[in-house]
Amino acid sequence: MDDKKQEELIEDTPTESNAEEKPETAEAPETQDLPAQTDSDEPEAGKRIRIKNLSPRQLLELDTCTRCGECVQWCPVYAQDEKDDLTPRAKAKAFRKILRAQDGILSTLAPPDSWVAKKLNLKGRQEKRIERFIQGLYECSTCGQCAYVCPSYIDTVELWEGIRKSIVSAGYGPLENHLALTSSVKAYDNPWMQPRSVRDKWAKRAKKQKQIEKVPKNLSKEKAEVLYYVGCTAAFDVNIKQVAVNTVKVLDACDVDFGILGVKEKCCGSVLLRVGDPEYERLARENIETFNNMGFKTLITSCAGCYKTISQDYPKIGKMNFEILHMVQFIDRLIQEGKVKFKQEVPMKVTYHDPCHLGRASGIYEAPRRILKSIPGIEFTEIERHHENSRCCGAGGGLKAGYPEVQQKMSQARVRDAVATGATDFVTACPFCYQGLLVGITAEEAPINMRDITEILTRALGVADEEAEDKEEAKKKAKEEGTGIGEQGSGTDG
Amino acid sequence: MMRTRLSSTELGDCFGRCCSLAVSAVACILLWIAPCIVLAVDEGTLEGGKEQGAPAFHVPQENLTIYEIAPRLYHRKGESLVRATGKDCRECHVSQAYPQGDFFGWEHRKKWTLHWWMFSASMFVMLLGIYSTVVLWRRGRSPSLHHPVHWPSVMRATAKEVIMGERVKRQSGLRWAVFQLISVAFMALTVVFALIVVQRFLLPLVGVTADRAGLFLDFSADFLGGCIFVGILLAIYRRIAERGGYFKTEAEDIVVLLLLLGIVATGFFLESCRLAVVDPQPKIWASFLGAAGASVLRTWDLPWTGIRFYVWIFHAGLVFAFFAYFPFSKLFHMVTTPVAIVATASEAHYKQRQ
Repeated sequence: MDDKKQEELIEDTPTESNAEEKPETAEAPETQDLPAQTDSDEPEAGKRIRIKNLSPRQLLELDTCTRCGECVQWCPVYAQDEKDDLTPRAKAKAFRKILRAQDGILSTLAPPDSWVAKKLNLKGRQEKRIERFIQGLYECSTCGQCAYVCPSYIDTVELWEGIRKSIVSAGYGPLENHLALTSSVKAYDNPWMQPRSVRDKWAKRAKKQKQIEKVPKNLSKEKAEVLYYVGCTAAFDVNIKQVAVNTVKVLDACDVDFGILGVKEKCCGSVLLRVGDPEYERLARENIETFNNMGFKTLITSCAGCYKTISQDYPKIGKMNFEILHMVQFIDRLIQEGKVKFKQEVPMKVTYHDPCHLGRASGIYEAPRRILKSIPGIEFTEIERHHENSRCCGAGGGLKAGYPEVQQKMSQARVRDAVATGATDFVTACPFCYQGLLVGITAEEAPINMRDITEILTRALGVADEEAEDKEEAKKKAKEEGTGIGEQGSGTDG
Repeated sequence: MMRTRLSSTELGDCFGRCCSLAVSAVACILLWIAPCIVLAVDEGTLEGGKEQGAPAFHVPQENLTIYEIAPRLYHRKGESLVRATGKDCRECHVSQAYPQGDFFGWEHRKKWTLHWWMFSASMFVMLLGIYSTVVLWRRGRSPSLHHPVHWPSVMRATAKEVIMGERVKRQSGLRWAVFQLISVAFMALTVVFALIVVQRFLLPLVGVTADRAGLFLDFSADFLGGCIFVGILLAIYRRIAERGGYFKTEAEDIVVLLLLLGIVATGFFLESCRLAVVDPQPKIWASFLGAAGASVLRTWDLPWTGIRFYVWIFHAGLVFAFFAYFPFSKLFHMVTTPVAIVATASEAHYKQRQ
């Protein structure tokens, strides 16, 4: 498959056929915490931004910022696009100003329809302020680096997501490029505008290609101890579906009693949550109810975004009666229990990229490292910015859809970090980071392979796809002869 | 291994770390050990100078501060003559209150009228600002914490971050020095000020004097005030030396720094003016910075009492401007940051590094 087609498939922007579709504006669920949804598609000028969905602590955090600038130093987006409006300190100050202008002393003394307000054009100034603020608000991958370095310990990720929800509820957001994603999730339960019926096509095709012995159990019909939650990226992206296949191979090799939801699986809602669409709560409730009724004990996923959403964000919506683990945690546990034996050497010099949603957001840093270091033949080298200081690839938080050029620069910066280690393979544990970094490798023409950790595991367990391995060898030879460039690992589907 | 990033020069860092270690050590001794030892009841009063021709009832020199802050307090203590005549003590004791017998001495009563008006106005503005901010916070209806409060994390975060500023220390030694010199010294000064109120006004009500403790508190107040002054100067230096890039200086930053500098500088000047006109006994050196300033001022033959009167009003004005400006500026982070820190620390406990 050529690069251009790969890019199109990875691209999140609406296709021609969907370009003129208006997004569905479903009614917001009736909860006391959510503001009422607007009926009109266009925001009215001077519409109030409701802040009921924020917490008193989050509103207090707006007054906590000392504008020290530490966040600006570390912001990976600012490093590529030096606009003051997108910095966390500017966003905190701007939103504070918006709220004060809307609900503060001045607005009490000079209501919007008063002579003073009209004379001073307060409404117009507020609109400009909001417009400018929104551009900065969405030019952010919600990576959480600012939260980690903030001396005032402001939980910026929760704050930005909460503010985005207020902005969307007021009708000011999300960005144009996000509307296709959100409307797809609402209409098709995935952001890829693919029908629900093809959600398990990756498994059927893998069985047909004899990559796996059988299609995993469908937990809507059978029982199993473990649910493998595939996620939308692995299920639908042609470059990433090998991650799902590899995960199934690994689980089979480890004799894990697992199943999938098949076509019943819905998007975790991360897309909606990150851009602030309040429909997320409905989707989350439905998923929680589905999961709770399935009877499994453990949910595992190989997507960091899905893991973060289900483990960190779902508990705020409802209780779950099962354990939630990322694939790396699950395999690490099996290794510690002595249930996994690596059969083959994997002679690679690797470096690892900490996905933001797995690392900073969930605190999982050592499990993937333990796995890589325990695989014979692997030479592990640490990348320059790692653990809590991992440099974001830019794929998350709606940034890739909203500002693809900025995301590309961010991923290029991250790829340069990896190349500087001298590693031949760049490993991550998130399909979204995988595709995000792939953009950077292609743009940089970097001599490094992109790999998901599940692929390394299949090789170590001796269940890797032989055809893909042969292709890999051929590429390696071509590279050594100076005729090839660094490409992704064996993630392509024929 | 996590990489720390320092933005100041190595020299600034080294100086900052040495400075703040010294301040922290001395502050610890002052705040937590010495007051426990020194705050013992002292039966005797220190001898004040007696003026020739002074009336029968003696006004001890060190109690002048009581006159300044709460003149009515002494009336209630039973100075029947003063009550009968309706006169303020200073009207008969002008020479003792103001040895130079300055004309503006009798104006001293009027400054309290001005003081209470300014105080009321600034309190009104401050409370209005706080009220409007708290009302805004309360509009948020989502839960602030998703887990029960984890008190050990809260205590740990209070010690490590609110007081010691560990994260700031990792990021910049110079910034940490400024934080310790201003914030921690300010917190300590608040405690010292509370102790001064207890020692000078509450203990005498029950017939207890603790003059040695008073001297110690005078020393502490000067020392901590000096730390704040040095911290502000370092902050100004940092804003000039580290200009550009991520470090932005806005108008508000300049206002806040100049306001704080003005308050501390005028406060020390006031103290020097007061000490310049009293008998230069050894005990005034408990307020060592004020006494040093006073020894300089004494070399000029100027009406320091009168000058003090106007500087006093100016100083009060700056302090009340501080109160009024407090909820509308980044100064408010003094209240909000500790709350944010302990809340985040409590929540972070449930999401531990693996």
